[in-house]
Amino acid sequence: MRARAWLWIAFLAALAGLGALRLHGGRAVQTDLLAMLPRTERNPVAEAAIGALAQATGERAVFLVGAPRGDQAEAAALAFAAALERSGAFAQVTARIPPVDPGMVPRFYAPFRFRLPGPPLPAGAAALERPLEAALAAPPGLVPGLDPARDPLGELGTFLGGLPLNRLRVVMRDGLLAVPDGDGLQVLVTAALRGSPFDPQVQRASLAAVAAAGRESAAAASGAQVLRTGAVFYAADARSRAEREAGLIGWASLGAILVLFLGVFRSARHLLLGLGCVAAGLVAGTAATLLVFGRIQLLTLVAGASLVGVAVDYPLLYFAHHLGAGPQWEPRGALDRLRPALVLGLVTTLLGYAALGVAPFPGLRQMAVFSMAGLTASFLTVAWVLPGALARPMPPRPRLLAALERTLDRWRRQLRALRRWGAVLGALLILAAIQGLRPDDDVRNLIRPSRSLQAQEERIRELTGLSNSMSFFLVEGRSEGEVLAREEALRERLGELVAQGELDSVQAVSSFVPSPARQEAALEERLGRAPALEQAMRAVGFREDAVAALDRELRASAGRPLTVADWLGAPFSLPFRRLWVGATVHGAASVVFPSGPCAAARLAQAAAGLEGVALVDKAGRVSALLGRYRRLADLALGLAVLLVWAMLARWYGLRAGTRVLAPTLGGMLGALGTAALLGMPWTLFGSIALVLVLGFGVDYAVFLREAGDRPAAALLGVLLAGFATLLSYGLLACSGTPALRGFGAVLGAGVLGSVLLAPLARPDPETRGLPL
Amino acid sequence: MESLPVKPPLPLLLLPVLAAPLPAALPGNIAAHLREAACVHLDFVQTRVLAALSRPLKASGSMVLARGRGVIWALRRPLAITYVMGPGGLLVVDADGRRERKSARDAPLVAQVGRVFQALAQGDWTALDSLFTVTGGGTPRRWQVELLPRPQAQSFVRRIRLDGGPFIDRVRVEEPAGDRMELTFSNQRVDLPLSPDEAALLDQLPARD
Repeated sequence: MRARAWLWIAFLAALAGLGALRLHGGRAVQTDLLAMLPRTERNPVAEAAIGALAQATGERAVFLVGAPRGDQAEAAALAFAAALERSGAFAQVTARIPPVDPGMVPRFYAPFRFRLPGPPLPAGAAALERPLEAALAAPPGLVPGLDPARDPLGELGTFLGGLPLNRLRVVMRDGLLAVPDGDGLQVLVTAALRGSPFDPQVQRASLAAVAAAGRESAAAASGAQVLRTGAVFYAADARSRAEREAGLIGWASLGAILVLFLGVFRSARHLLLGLGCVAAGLVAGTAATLLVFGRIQLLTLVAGASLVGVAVDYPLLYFAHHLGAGPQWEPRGALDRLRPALVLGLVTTLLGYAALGVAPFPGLRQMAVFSMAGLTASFLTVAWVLPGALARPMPPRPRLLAALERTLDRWRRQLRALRRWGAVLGALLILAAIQGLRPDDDVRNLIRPSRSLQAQEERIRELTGLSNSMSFFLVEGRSEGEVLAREEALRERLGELVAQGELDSVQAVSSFVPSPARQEAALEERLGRAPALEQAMRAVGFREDAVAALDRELRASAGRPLTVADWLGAPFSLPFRRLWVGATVHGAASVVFPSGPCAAARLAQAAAGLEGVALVDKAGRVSALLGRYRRLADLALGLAVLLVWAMLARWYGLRAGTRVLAPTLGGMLGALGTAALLGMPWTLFGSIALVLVLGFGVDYAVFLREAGDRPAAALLGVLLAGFATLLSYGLLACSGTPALRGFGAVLGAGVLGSVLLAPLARPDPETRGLPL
Repeated sequence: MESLPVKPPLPLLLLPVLAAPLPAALPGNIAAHLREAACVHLDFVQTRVLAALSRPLKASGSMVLARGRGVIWALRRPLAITYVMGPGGLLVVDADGRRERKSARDAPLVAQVGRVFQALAQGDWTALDSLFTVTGGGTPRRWQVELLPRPQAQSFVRRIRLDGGPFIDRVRVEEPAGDRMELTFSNQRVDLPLSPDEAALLDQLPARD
C-alpha cells in the first residue's frame, strides 16, 4: 500500500482517539431538545427569556406520592423524601413546608395600601357610612386584611382577595402540601437537581435515587405510588432510547452486512475492509460534527448510525467489480473505471445532504455535516486504501455472475414489458399521494417523550394545577413602570378571554405590583376622599386618635411607591419571580403567563396592537418554521429533479438520460404512495428523505448504466448497496421518534423502488454500446 | 418595619359547621345531629369590641348552613347585606338587590375559604391543625373547645373559644391588641328545609371548577 493510504489510516485513528476522548462520559452528547430546535425569535430578549424559563423549570423535579389512605400517603411521602435526601443526588429536597404565616402577605402590602387600586366607592361623607358599617359587620375571616382602624373600608382585603396567589389545588396537611385524590391523598415532593438536567451524570444519579426512594416509599406504605415529572426524566428517557436505537440500528446493520459479505464474497479481508470504510465514515462524521458544533446531538447519533448502511455502498461496488473481474483483476484500473460512477454518485448524494444543511436548523445541520463528512471519508478510503489492499484477484465465481447476468436481462425485459402497467400504477400512486398525503409540521413529531412520562405529567397537572407551558407573552418597555403599564393593558385584554372562559387565569407581576401610574392615581383618589372618609368614620363611632393615625399614614405613603424590587424581596413572591425578566438591552422586560385551553392564535389576536407585547410560542413557532422548510424542501426537490435530469440529458442524451432518471422517479413516487397509503403525516423529514432518494437512486442507475460489459458485477454492487441502505433506513423506520420513523419509511420505500426499477437504465441489447 | 396587626384569612365563620369528629379530648358525639343535618337555620349576633371604636359594634342577622352547598350569612342590622359562600366562590347581595359574584378562580383566597369550609364540613380538622392547637372538654350537653394559636398565628389571634350544648352557642375570638369579637347563636332549627329564596341564592353561587 502507498504512503497516502497509511497516512489516511493514521489520520482516521487520531480522529477516532480524539473523538472518543471528547465523547467519554457522554457530556458531549446533547439531549437538550431546545438546543436541537432552531432559534425562532428575532428578539434576543425573547430567546433569553425562553432559555431562562426552561432552565428554571428544568432544574426541578416534581413528585406526587400517593396512597389510598391519607396517613399512608404521608408516611410514604416522608420516606420518599428522606431517601432522596440521603442519596445526595439532589441539591435540595422539599416535602415539609415550614408553617406559613398567614399575616405575611397583608403585612407586606400594609404600608402601600393607599397606593393599591380599590373598588369604586360613593362620594360624600354620608354615602361612605354604609360601606364603613358593612366592612365592620362583614362575616369575619372572609378575606384577610388589616384591623378596621387601619383599613376601615376593607380595601386592602379586597386587593389581597384578588391576588392570584394560590392557583394550585394543593392544601396544607400536617405540614405537607397535598392534593386529595378520591379517597386517597397525593403528597407533593419537589427536588432541585445538582446541575443541568441534560448532564448524564446528573441524570444517572437522579434516576437511581428516585428508583431507590420509590422502593422505600412502597416499603413505608403498601400501595404507595410515585408520579414524577421534570426535564431530567424526559432527557434521560430520550437519551437512553436514542442510545438504544442507535445501538440497535448500528448493530443490526453491521450484522446484516457481515452476513452479506461472508455469503457473497466469502472473504474475511473484504469484510474487514468494508467495516473499515464504515468505521472511517463514522469516525469522520463524529469528528466533523464535534469540530463544527462542539457537541453532538442525540438525533444526529441515531441518524448517524444509519450511515453505516450508506457508507458501505462505495466499497460494495468496488468489491462487486473485484468479484466480477475474476483473474483479469487490476486494482487500479478497476478504480479508474469506477471513478466516474463513484464521483457522480458521491456528488449527487453530497448535494442532497447539503440541501439539508441549508436550513438554519441545528439538528438538520448536524446530520448534514455528519453524513457529508462520513460519506467523503468512506469514498476516500475506497480510493486510497482498497486498491492497495486488494492486489490479488478473487477466485472466479462464473455461476454466480452468469446467474446475475441472466436475472438482469430477464428483469429488464419484464420491466420493459410492464411499462404501460407501470405508467398506470404511477398515475394511481400520484392520485393516492395527492389524495392521501396530509402535511403535518407539528414539532411534536420531532420530540416524542415516553407515554408513561407524559401520562404522569398530565396527571400531576390535573391534580395540582402546576403547568409547564412554554407559550407566554413577553412584555418590554424602557423602564419598569412602562413594562408594568403595558402588562396592565395586556391583562385587560386577556381579562375578556378569562370572562369568556377561554382562559383560566393570567399570571403577571403587575397583579402584585401596580404600575406607577395606577399607584399615583389610587393615592390621588384616597387623598381626595380623605376628608369625607374621616367625617364618616367619626359618625360610625371611630375614635379621634384612630382617625388621626390613619391620616398620618396616608400622608406618609405619598413618598413611598411599591416597586418590583420590594416585591422580589418578599418571601411570598418566590413562586412568581420567574415572571420578572428584569433589565435587558431594551430597558426592562417581564413575562405574562396565560393558562388555559386558549389557542395561540387567539392569544396573539388578543394582544394585537399592544405596544411592547409579543406572544412567544416556542412550539408553535418551531412548527411554523418546520412547515416553511418543508415547502422549501419540496421546492428544492423539484429543482433538484430538473437539475439532475438536465445533467443526465447532457451526459447521455435526452432519451437515455430520461431513462436513467426514470427508476429514481419511480422509486420516489412509490415512496409518496406508500406514505399516503399508510396514512403517514407528511413532514419536512419526508421531503428530505425524497431528496436523498434522488441521490441514491441516480447512483444505482448510473452504476448499472456505466457497467459496460460487466453488468453482473454492477448489478451485484447495486443490489448489495441497495440492500444495505434499505436495511439501515428500514431499521430507522422502527425508531420511536415519528420524524425519524417517517424518514426511514419514505427512504426505505424510495430506495426499494429505485433498486427494483434500476435495470430500466440499462441500454436495450440491440443498441448496447451505441450512443443514443 | 413596624409590625402591623393584621386580620387573618381565617374562615372563622365556618367554625359553627365543625360539628363532626372533634378532638379526642372531647366527649364523642357532640352535636352529632348537626353533623348529620342537611340544613341548619339559626340567628346570630356579632359583637365587636375594638380599641379604635368608641362603642362596641353590634351586628345581627340570620344564617343558613346547607350541607355540601354553602352558607348564607344574612346580615340585617346595622344594614342589610347577604353573603353567600360556597366551595365555588362568593356571592354578595346588598340591600338594593345588587349582586356581586366572585368565583374561587378569580379570588383564590375566597377559594381557600371554600376549601377549608369543605374540609371542616367533612370533619377534617387538619385544615386548622397547622395554625392552632385544639383542646376541649365537657359533656355533650355542655362542652367547650379552645383553639390556641401556633407561633405563626400568634400575631393575629390570642385565643378562640367555642362553647355549646346540643348546638354551638358561642364563638369568642380575642386578638392580641385587645380587640374582641363574639358571635352568639340562637334559635337553631335543624332540618327546616331551605326556603325557595334560600335555595335560589345557593344556586347562584359560582360553580366549583
